[in-house]
Amino acid sequence: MEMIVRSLAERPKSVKELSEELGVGWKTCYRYLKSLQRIGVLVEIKTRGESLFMSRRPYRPKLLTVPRVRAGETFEIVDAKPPSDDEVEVLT
Amino acid sequence: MKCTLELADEYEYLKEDYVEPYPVVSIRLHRRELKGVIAVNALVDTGFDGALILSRSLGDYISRYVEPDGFEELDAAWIGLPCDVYVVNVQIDGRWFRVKSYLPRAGDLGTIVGRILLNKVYICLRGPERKLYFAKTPPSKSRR
Repeated sequence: MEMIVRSLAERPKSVKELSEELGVGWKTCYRYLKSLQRIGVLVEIKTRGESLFMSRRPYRPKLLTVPRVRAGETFEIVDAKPPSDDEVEVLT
Repeated sequence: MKCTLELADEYEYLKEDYVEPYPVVSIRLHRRELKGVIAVNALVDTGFDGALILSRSLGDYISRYVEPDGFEELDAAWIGLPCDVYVVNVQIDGRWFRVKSYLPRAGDLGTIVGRILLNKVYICLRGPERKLYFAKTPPSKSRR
Protein backbone atom coordinates (compact mmCIF):
# COMPACT_ATOMS: atom_id res chain seq x y z
CA MET A 1 0.00 0.00 0.00
CA GLU A 2 2.86 2.30 0.85
CA MET A 3 4.34 1.73 -2.61
CA ILE A 4 0.99 2.55 -4.22
CA VAL A 5 0.70 5.80 -2.31
CA ARG A 6 4.28 6.75 -3.10
CA SER A 7 3.84 5.97 -6.79
CA LEU A 8 0.59 7.92 -7.07
CA ALA A 9 2.16 10.94 -5.41
CA GLU A 10 4.09 11.43 -8.68
CA ARG A 11 1.02 11.54 -10.94
CA PRO A 12 -2.37 9.86 -11.48
CA LYS A 13 -2.13 6.31 -12.82
CA SER A 14 -4.49 3.60 -14.07
CA VAL A 15 -4.92 0.24 -12.34
CA LYS A 16 -3.17 -1.50 -15.25
CA GLU A 17 -0.21 0.88 -15.14
CA LEU A 18 0.14 0.51 -11.37
CA SER A 19 -0.25 -3.26 -11.30
CA GLU A 20 2.48 -3.61 -13.94
CA GLU A 21 4.76 -1.17 -12.15
CA LEU A 22 4.40 -2.92 -8.80
CA GLY A 23 4.28 -6.45 -10.16
CA VAL A 24 0.94 -7.40 -8.61
CA GLY A 25 -2.22 -8.71 -10.22
CA TRP A 26 -4.83 -6.27 -11.58
CA LYS A 27 -7.51 -7.47 -9.12
CA THR A 28 -5.24 -7.23 -6.07
CA CYS A 29 -4.10 -3.79 -7.11
CA TYR A 30 -7.68 -2.62 -7.69
CA ARG A 31 -8.75 -3.92 -4.25
CA TYR A 32 -5.95 -1.97 -2.56
CA LEU A 33 -6.79 1.16 -4.52
CA LYS A 34 -10.46 0.98 -3.58
CA SER A 35 -9.52 0.51 0.09
CA LEU A 36 -7.25 3.54 -0.04
CA GLN A 37 -9.99 5.49 -1.76
CA ARG A 38 -12.52 4.55 0.94
CA ILE A 39 -10.28 5.87 3.71
CA GLY A 40 -9.73 9.12 1.81
CA VAL A 41 -6.12 8.68 0.72
CA LEU A 42 -6.85 8.44 -3.01
CA VAL A 43 -9.32 9.93 -5.45
CA GLU A 44 -10.72 7.99 -8.41
CA ILE A 45 -11.07 9.81 -11.71
CA LYS A 46 -13.32 8.01 -14.18
CA THR A 47 -12.34 8.52 -17.81
CA ARG A 48 -14.01 7.02 -20.89
CA GLY A 49 -11.78 3.96 -21.12
CA GLU A 50 -10.47 3.42 -17.61
CA SER A 51 -10.25 4.73 -14.08
CA LEU A 52 -7.29 6.73 -12.90
CA PHE A 53 -6.35 7.00 -9.27
CA MET A 54 -4.54 9.95 -7.81
CA SER A 55 -3.24 10.95 -4.42
CA ARG A 56 -5.11 13.56 -2.44
CA ARG A 57 -1.74 14.94 -1.43
CA PRO A 58 0.43 15.11 -4.53
CA TYR A 59 4.18 15.51 -4.13
CA ARG A 60 5.29 19.06 -3.46
CA PRO A 61 8.86 20.11 -2.79
CA LYS A 62 9.13 21.05 0.87
CA LEU A 63 10.82 23.90 2.63
CA LEU A 64 11.04 22.95 6.27
CA THR A 65 11.60 26.51 7.34
CA VAL A 66 10.86 29.67 5.44
CA PRO A 67 14.02 31.73 5.23
CA ARG A 68 13.98 35.39 4.44
CA VAL A 69 17.48 36.11 3.36
CA ARG A 70 19.12 38.43 0.91
CA ALA A 71 21.26 35.77 -0.73
CA GLY A 72 21.03 36.01 -4.49
CA GLU A 73 19.37 39.40 -4.51
CA THR A 74 22.09 40.72 -6.75
CA PHE A 75 23.64 38.76 -9.57
CA GLU A 76 25.87 39.32 -12.53
CA ILE A 77 26.02 38.20 -16.12
CA VAL A 78 29.44 36.66 -16.55
CA ASP A 79 31.49 35.99 -19.61
CA ALA A 80 31.44 32.19 -19.36
CA LYS A 81 30.91 29.40 -21.81
CA PRO A 82 27.41 27.92 -21.52
CA PRO A 83 27.31 24.14 -21.09
CA SER A 84 26.80 21.78 -24.00
CA ASP A 85 23.95 19.29 -23.65
CA ASP A 86 26.44 16.47 -22.95
CA GLU A 87 27.75 18.29 -19.90
CA VAL A 88 24.35 18.67 -18.23
CA GLU A 89 22.97 16.00 -15.92
CA VAL A 90 19.18 16.11 -15.97
CA LEU A 91 17.56 16.11 -12.52
CA THR A 92 14.06 17.34 -13.38
CA MET B 1 35.28 7.95 11.56
CA LYS B 2 38.07 10.07 10.23
CA CYS B 3 37.17 12.56 7.52
CA THR B 4 39.54 12.27 4.59
CA LEU B 5 37.95 14.82 2.31
CA GLU B 6 40.28 17.22 0.59
CA LEU B 7 38.88 20.73 0.80
CA ALA B 8 38.82 22.87 -2.32
CA ASP B 9 36.78 26.03 -2.98
CA GLU B 10 36.08 28.19 0.06
CA TYR B 11 33.05 30.44 0.65
CA GLU B 12 32.47 32.92 3.47
CA TYR B 13 29.11 32.76 5.23
CA LEU B 14 26.89 35.73 4.40
CA LYS B 15 26.34 38.19 7.21
CA GLU B 16 23.19 40.28 7.46
CA ASP B 17 21.81 42.42 10.23
CA TYR B 18 19.58 40.50 12.65
CA VAL B 19 20.19 37.16 10.91
CA GLU B 20 22.57 34.48 12.10
CA PRO B 21 25.36 34.17 9.49
CA TYR B 22 24.46 31.52 6.95
CA PRO B 23 26.30 29.42 4.36
CA VAL B 24 26.14 30.42 0.72
CA VAL B 25 27.68 29.04 -2.45
CA SER B 26 28.22 30.64 -5.79
CA ILE B 27 26.24 28.99 -8.57
CA ARG B 28 25.78 29.74 -12.25
CA LEU B 29 22.55 29.61 -14.21
CA HIS B 30 22.04 29.22 -17.89
CA ARG B 31 19.25 28.86 -20.33
CA ARG B 32 19.46 29.39 -24.07
CA GLU B 33 17.04 32.34 -24.10
CA LEU B 34 19.05 34.27 -21.51
CA LYS B 35 21.79 36.64 -22.49
CA GLY B 36 24.80 34.83 -21.12
CA VAL B 37 25.47 32.92 -17.94
CA ILE B 38 24.28 34.32 -14.59
CA ALA B 39 26.49 34.09 -11.50
CA VAL B 40 24.70 34.36 -8.17
CA ASN B 41 25.10 33.42 -4.52
CA ALA B 42 22.58 31.05 -3.00
CA LEU B 43 21.71 30.06 0.55
CA VAL B 44 22.63 26.43 1.26
CA ASP B 45 19.41 25.03 2.71
CA THR B 46 19.34 21.34 3.56
CA GLY B 47 15.72 21.81 4.71
CA PHE B 48 14.58 22.37 1.12
CA ASP B 49 14.07 19.16 -0.83
CA GLY B 50 13.81 20.79 -4.26
CA ALA B 51 16.69 22.09 -6.35
CA LEU B 52 16.52 25.88 -6.53
CA ILE B 53 14.40 28.86 -5.50
CA LEU B 54 14.93 32.13 -7.35
CA SER B 55 15.06 35.48 -5.61
CA ARG B 56 12.52 38.04 -6.80
CA SER B 57 15.12 40.10 -8.69
CA LEU B 58 16.66 37.07 -10.36
CA GLY B 59 13.26 35.62 -11.22
CA ASP B 60 12.06 38.93 -12.64
CA TYR B 61 15.14 39.05 -14.85
CA ILE B 62 14.67 35.48 -16.11
CA SER B 63 10.95 35.99 -16.73
CA ARG B 64 11.76 38.82 -19.13
CA TYR B 65 13.29 36.33 -21.50
CA VAL B 66 11.67 33.01 -20.64
CA GLU B 67 8.07 31.90 -20.25
CA PRO B 68 7.45 29.67 -17.21
CA ASP B 69 7.64 25.94 -17.94
CA GLY B 70 4.93 25.22 -15.43
CA PHE B 71 3.28 26.06 -12.18
CA GLU B 72 3.68 24.21 -8.88
CA GLU B 73 3.12 24.81 -5.23
CA LEU B 74 5.99 24.66 -2.78
CA ASP B 75 5.15 23.35 0.63
CA ALA B 76 6.64 26.09 2.79
CA ALA B 77 6.22 25.10 6.42
CA TRP B 78 2.89 23.42 5.50
CA ILE B 79 1.58 26.40 3.57
CA GLY B 80 1.24 26.08 -0.19
CA LEU B 81 3.32 28.74 -1.92
CA PRO B 82 2.31 29.24 -5.59
CA CYS B 83 5.38 29.29 -7.83
CA ASP B 84 6.20 29.58 -11.51
CA VAL B 85 8.63 26.88 -12.55
CA TYR B 86 11.57 27.46 -14.88
CA VAL B 87 13.79 24.62 -16.02
CA VAL B 88 17.37 25.92 -15.96
CA ASN B 89 20.90 24.59 -16.15
CA VAL B 90 22.73 25.15 -12.88
CA GLN B 91 26.43 24.84 -12.28
CA ILE B 92 27.51 23.93 -8.77
CA ASP B 93 31.03 22.89 -7.86
CA GLY B 94 31.96 22.87 -11.55
CA ARG B 95 29.21 20.45 -12.62
CA TRP B 96 26.12 21.34 -14.61
CA PHE B 97 22.65 20.04 -13.80
CA ARG B 98 19.26 20.66 -15.42
CA VAL B 99 16.75 21.32 -12.65
CA LYS B 100 13.42 22.92 -11.86
CA SER B 101 13.75 26.35 -10.30
CA TYR B 102 10.87 27.94 -8.40
CA LEU B 103 9.89 31.59 -8.49
CA PRO B 104 7.31 32.36 -5.79
CA ARG B 105 4.48 34.46 -7.21
CA ALA B 106 4.53 36.60 -4.09
CA GLY B 107 7.27 37.63 -1.70
CA ASP B 108 10.99 37.09 -1.87
CA LEU B 109 12.76 34.20 -0.17
CA GLY B 110 16.15 34.94 -1.68
CA THR B 111 18.03 32.47 -3.86
CA ILE B 112 18.11 29.06 -2.22
CA VAL B 113 19.81 25.86 -3.27
CA GLY B 114 18.21 22.67 -1.93
CA ARG B 115 18.94 19.01 -1.51
CA ILE B 116 18.41 17.90 -5.12
CA LEU B 117 21.61 19.82 -5.92
CA LEU B 118 23.33 19.60 -2.53
CA ASN B 119 23.13 15.82 -2.59
CA LYS B 120 25.33 15.85 -5.68
CA VAL B 121 28.34 17.52 -4.07
CA TYR B 122 30.64 17.16 -1.08
CA ILE B 123 30.27 20.09 1.27
CA CYS B 124 32.07 20.82 4.51
CA LEU B 125 30.64 23.40 6.91
CA ARG B 126 32.94 25.03 9.41
CA GLY B 127 30.45 27.10 11.35
CA PRO B 128 32.78 28.60 13.97
CA GLU B 129 34.95 29.96 11.18
CA ARG B 130 31.84 30.94 9.15
CA LYS B 131 33.16 29.08 6.17
CA LEU B 132 31.83 26.55 3.69
CA TYR B 133 34.09 24.40 1.54
CA PHE B 134 33.48 22.21 -1.44
CA ALA B 135 35.50 19.07 -1.11
CA LYS B 136 37.07 17.17 -3.96
CA THR B 137 35.28 13.95 -4.88
CA PRO B 138 37.17 11.13 -3.16
CA PRO B 139 39.03 9.04 -5.75
CA SER B 140 37.22 5.90 -4.60
CA LYS B 141 33.79 7.35 -5.41
CA SER B 142 32.47 7.53 -8.92
CA ARG B 143 30.33 10.54 -9.75
CA ARG B 144 26.70 10.01 -8.87
